[in-house]
Amino acid sequence: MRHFLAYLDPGSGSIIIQVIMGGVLGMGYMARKSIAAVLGRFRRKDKTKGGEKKEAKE
Amino acid sequence: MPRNSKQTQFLPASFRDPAGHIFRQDGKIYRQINQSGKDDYELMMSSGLYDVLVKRGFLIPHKETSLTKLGIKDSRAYKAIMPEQIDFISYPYEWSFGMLKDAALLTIEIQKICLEHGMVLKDASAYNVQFIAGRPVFIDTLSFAKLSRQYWHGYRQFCQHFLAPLALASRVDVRFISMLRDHIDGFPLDLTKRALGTRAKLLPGLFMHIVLHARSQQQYQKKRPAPKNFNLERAKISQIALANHLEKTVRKIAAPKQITTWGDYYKNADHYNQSSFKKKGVIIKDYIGRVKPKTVWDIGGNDGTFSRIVLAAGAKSAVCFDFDYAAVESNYQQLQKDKNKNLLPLYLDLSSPSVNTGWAQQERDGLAERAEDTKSVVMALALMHHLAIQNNIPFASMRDYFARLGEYLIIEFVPKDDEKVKELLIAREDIFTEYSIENFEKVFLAKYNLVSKDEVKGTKRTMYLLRRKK
Repeated sequence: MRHFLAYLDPGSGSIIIQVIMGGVLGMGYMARKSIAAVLGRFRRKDKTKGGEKKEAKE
Repeated sequence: MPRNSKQTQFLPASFRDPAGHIFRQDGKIYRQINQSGKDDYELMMSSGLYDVLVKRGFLIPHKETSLTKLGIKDSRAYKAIMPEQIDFISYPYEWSFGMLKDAALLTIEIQKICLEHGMVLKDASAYNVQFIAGRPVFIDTLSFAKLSRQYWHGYRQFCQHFLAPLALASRVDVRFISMLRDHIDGFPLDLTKRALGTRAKLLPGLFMHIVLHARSQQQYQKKRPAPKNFNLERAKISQIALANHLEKTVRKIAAPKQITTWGDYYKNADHYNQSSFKKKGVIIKDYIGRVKPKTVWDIGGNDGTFSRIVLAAGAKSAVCFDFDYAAVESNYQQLQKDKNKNLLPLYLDLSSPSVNTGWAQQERDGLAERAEDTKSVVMALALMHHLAIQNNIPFASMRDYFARLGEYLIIEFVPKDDEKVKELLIAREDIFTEYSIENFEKVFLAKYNLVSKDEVKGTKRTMYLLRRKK
């Protein structure tokens, strides 16, 4: 399998720069994802609360 | 070897990948998958990746065929597939800015879908994309591999094939796209960096993927990158993040100013009065009705107005070439709104058409080599005076080239006392003593039979339908 993926020369400089960028961008991506997940949980809770209140009123 | 030969003909556009290659047999294109490409191919089919990509119209569908039936006796062969057949193969140096940008976005979207399925695109060549019915479609079924590296193999290629020409076209000059013909592996990043100058620094994505990337290439040219242990989750995250960033960068590259000023050529142009324009349309419709062509090559077809007329008249497909990037772009954008999408807008400088190029001059075909010979029509409207007077091309040479491109020719003769020809002669001496309708007929009818000759009423122009002599 190894050499078939590697039929194209990725280039040393291109690997090094993208490993660095991939690391930084990856951290940003994970951070955004975590924030979104946390916010999403709060929003869902808010909605549920709201929903409960509405139901209670009815 | 003729295109419809029963013999198997290996096509030299795909020799680099050991996982398989394409070949032609009996006029049909097939792809051989080698034993070495078996695991990746089967993973693509079983992981659901193929179904997702085909369903969304991103990847060309295929059918598996029998190796024995095709008479393949290659010990490396595992399977053969027949992809949906494509009428006309075009190349990135013939695309408009918008086409190249859409092809880039498709490639990156596919990479993201691959990552969701535990796979990657093992390359990011712009030649893996073709335009079918107005949309970019990925055609290399063997470009998919199991995710097994921390980094993306196709990153350098993506930057060279897509990001660099898009950035140069947007920020320096749109004509950079046609210069890809001289750089079939994309623009080298150091060259791009130099040509962009400080303009690259205005967009962080370009600064990262072109300027820093070029510097890194220069600095680590002969250094072996430290091997990293493969971690599937980390590889996925960093590659998705990279793909997202590349996508964001591509989206932010604005269309070049040169092509955004395109107005409605035919509506605004004073040389076309509506009634003679309509008369020309009626003549063309009549010609198309008589020939019933499979394909029409509308050369110098501007924004595709007459290409749409030939499609409405019953031609199965049309390729519309023009020298003006703004017209090609306008044509492509209009195509997105059209119902009949069997039109392919392309950039072409007919005074120097696409040539056979790449390794051994065989990887990419020239224009004439891609001509579908039978029942095809070459249409050259309001073109001949540009060729004859602007480019000094003799009638006989014009005739011979058109005859190579197709069996039928629809050609418009524009005489010297036409306003457009007068404009061309405004600053130069008239050395074109041979340029007359009599001489045109004499030269063209030596190799063509006259099928029809019609004057465009209200103008001094004449239309011809000619059929090549056998």
